[in-house]
Amino acid sequence: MSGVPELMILRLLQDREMYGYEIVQAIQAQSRGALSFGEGVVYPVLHALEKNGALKSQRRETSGRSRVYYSLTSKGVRRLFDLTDNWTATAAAIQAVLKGGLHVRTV
Amino acid sequence: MSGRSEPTSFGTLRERLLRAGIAPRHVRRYLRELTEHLADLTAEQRAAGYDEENATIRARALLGDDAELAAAMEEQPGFRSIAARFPWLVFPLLPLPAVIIGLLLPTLLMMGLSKFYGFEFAAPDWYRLLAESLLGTARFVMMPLAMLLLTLLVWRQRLSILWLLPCLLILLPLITDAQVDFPNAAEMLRHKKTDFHVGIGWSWVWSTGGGLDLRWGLLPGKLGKELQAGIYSGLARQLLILLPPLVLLALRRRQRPMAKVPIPS
Repeated sequence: MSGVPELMILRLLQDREMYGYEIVQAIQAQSRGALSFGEGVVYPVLHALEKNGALKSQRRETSGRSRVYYSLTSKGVRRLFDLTDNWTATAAAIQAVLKGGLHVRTV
Repeated sequence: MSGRSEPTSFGTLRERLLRAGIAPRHVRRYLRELTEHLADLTAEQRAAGYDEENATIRARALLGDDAELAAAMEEQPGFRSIAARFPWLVFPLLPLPAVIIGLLLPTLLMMGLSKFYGFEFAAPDWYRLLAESLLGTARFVMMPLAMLLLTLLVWRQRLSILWLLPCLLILLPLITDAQVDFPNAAEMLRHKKTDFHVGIGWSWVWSTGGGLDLRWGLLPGKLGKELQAGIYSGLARQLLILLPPLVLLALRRRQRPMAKVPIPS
């Protein structure tokens, strides 16, 4: 599903800034472990979002450890709204198909 | 093995990403964040009661295998370096501007100093020495320096050594010049200013007086021999100053060949 990792990351960062490990933990906690992936794959997505201006990053020392914190930019907020709209429409369409509400007569 | 010493375990991943054309700065950043993430995962596993060895193994598995981590980076557009995407454009085009900028920078610096201190008509000895040394050095080192930088680019980005051939062909017949001409006593009276000269050009014929005078003329006749000797001596001199980095890279690749990077299953 194209855009889903971006959507989840942007949505999590809408609430507060986080570093990579925190983001992965939050995804796993909120999805109740339903999503399984190598945790490191989150970084290319974060870097791409930052490159596109949707995120900004800042390296900071926390509890003696150096971490890169990511936060949403105004461009990122717009991207989040766009992705949310797309996802809602897609999910509704898939749901409609699954319910089988529309029958098409074939000849 | 502690989580802190993990960067070495990403050696295979680094090689794979560089060979996929990912720019070294993106690879460096990715690996640094993976290392930090791995340290967090290892600490989490230790806290869950696993011993050091098992915690490390479990943390590495949770992070993802090299193939998965590499694919995630390779799938993202925009992380490949310009040299990896357009080597056919970069390597023929880069040598000449590099040499020109390398000649212009010290010349403009000395011109600026001359203007700033008002040395345009009469320069002190220290300035004369500095200007002549700097421009003299620039004249001779810019071409080997350009070749060295291009070789480093090929080495860092794991590109084919063959991409250095167009650079070599462009630099081989190149002649550079950067000089400063101070007015003598008579010229000072006529208010002649200090002149700076920067020149660049191509020629296959070099003076037989300088460099290696091989004199291996194959064509009959004195003129033919002189011409051949000029070409050979010029080529020999240029090859001597341009080839060392290329040869060093070839030797390094021979010692540590770019074999296929194993992908753990």
